Amino acid sequence: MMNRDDFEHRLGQGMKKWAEGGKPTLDLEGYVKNQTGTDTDGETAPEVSVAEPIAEPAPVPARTRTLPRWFRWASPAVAAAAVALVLTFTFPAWAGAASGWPIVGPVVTEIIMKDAGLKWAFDAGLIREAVAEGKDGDVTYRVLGVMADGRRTTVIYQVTGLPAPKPFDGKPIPVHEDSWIPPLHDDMVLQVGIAGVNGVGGWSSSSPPVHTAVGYVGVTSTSALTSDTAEVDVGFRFNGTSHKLTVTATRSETDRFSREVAVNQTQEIDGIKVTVEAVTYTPAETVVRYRVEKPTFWGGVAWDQGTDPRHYMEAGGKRYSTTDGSSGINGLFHDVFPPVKGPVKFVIPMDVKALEVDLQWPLQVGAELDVLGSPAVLREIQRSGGAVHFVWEREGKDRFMGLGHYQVIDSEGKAYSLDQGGWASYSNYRDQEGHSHSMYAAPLPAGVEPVAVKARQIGMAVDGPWVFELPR
Amino acid sequence: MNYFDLLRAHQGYLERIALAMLGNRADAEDALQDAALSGYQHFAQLRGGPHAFGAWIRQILIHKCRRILEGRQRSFPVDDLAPYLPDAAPGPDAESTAVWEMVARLSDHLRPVVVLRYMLDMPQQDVADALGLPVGTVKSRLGKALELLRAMDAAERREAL
Repeated sequence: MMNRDDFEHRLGQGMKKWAEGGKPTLDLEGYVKNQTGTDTDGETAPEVSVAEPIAEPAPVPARTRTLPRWFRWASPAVAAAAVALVLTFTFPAWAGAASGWPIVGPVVTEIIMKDAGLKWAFDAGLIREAVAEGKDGDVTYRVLGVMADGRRTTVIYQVTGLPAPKPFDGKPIPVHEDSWIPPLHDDMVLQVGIAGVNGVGGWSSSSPPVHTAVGYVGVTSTSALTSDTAEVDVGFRFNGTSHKLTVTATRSETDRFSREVAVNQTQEIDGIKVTVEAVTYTPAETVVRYRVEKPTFWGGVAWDQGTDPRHYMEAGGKRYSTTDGSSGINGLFHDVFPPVKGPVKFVIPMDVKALEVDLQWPLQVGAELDVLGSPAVLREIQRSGGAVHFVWEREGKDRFMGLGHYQVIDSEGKAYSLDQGGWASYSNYRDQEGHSHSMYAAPLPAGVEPVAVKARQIGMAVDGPWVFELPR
Repeated sequence: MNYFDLLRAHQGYLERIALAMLGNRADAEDALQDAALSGYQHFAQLRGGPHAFGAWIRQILIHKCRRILEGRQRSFPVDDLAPYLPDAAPGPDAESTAVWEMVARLSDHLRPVVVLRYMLDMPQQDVADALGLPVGTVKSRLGKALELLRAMDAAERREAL
């Protein structure tokens, strides 16, 4: 047996003592007699020969230990200091956790309460104190809690010592070498990302951190752990530098309270095949896991005003909207709804699929194209900071949802994809007449002088609904 | 000495083992009842007399706990959570209670390994056999558990200062 240090010794002794303090609380004899039909009607319980009576429970394996002599002389305070010193150099993140920063305050609690999964984890005592901290000058960045379940791995974080957000100056977004941390807009002083190691990852979702009275606070998520426990990197970018905290996430606590039921139902409408694989009922959420097979449209979508394409759940005569969801990886999605009782129906009202096209505008303001029988006009073009930015408008109220898979064409006719540069920014909307307006910006490939812009996909609306009865 | 006399003599200790391994009273009760019934049905197989009973019934209980842990993932009804929440079970003194409160915070994958290794003093290979894990996994889980427990302990000590 390996030698144990003082901490392990204290752990063992404490656990043994705790076990010895156990008092019977169950009527095991009654249970066994009831199960075996042997009651107190004279039938005797099986016996063994008695060499000597046992008056007390055979307790814990009795093993007395003698502490090393220096430990017997050292005061507990010295021992504690030694442990803390070792921790500080061996496990900096966990040494940070050791300070036990209180996280229960009105600001942080409010953010936790907005997220059903975090709220449940908080109520269950799984988020109690900060788990990791780093410092850079006056800036302190912390992971306040980690919550992992069958859908996602989420951390709540806090950064203090940074100024309030600056007003947006319109400059394009720089690309950063740490691609897993989202790019930092010029109007932001902080951006936070999450990346898994040991099998975590696939997608990530970060809301911009909220500037509060206790600094910046926010939540960032990545996909569910593929193992029960894994390390997760949380990246913080501020003042032009990146920092990382590594924390441990484990699913086992949340999985204890979850129940996954297989569904495996498929419906196909107009070339879009949806398969609901499973539904997971947890105390905090109802999570539908489904797969969508379709020609995927890689562009921004603008729905008609008044159209509500959101997926919903029907239970007990009520309709529930999604509270969260994943953007999907390899066609696999998770939609999250509140916890519900009784028969449940999952409904996808409509969806969008891609139509492959080859539409090219000369890169000139006012250039016009025929898109599904309606004109689409380039209204604005900007070049700055190595990026291109353009705006187009299209008339017509139909199934057209947007354009995607943009390329730029140089004077030699060579095509370069625009969505390969690490970021792309777009916004889309439809006005009251149903006309589409779209802005797109992305970095240009180095050295490319574009003369035209091309769209390779049209997004087309497909009416559902896809309806699935979910088993309990 | 009959089976129930022996069971009564060990029951308090067995309840704590089950609670420590499973982390909540509802599961601990299931494991205890299964183990008590199984022990009764196989009592004739006990070798070594009453002194061997403790280790024998403990082995049965650990096996029952393992089965519950393995079947636990995604198999819980969610209507009544109270019995499944982590159990506050005070020890005979403040130190042992504090140790349990730290161990109780470990996940299902770390806590049973710690219980078998440090509460029952089982060698790592025996822990591996009891839980059906490779010994390397036991080692890594012990390492992770100790790392977490040390951090919790240091936090408690700093708060106490």
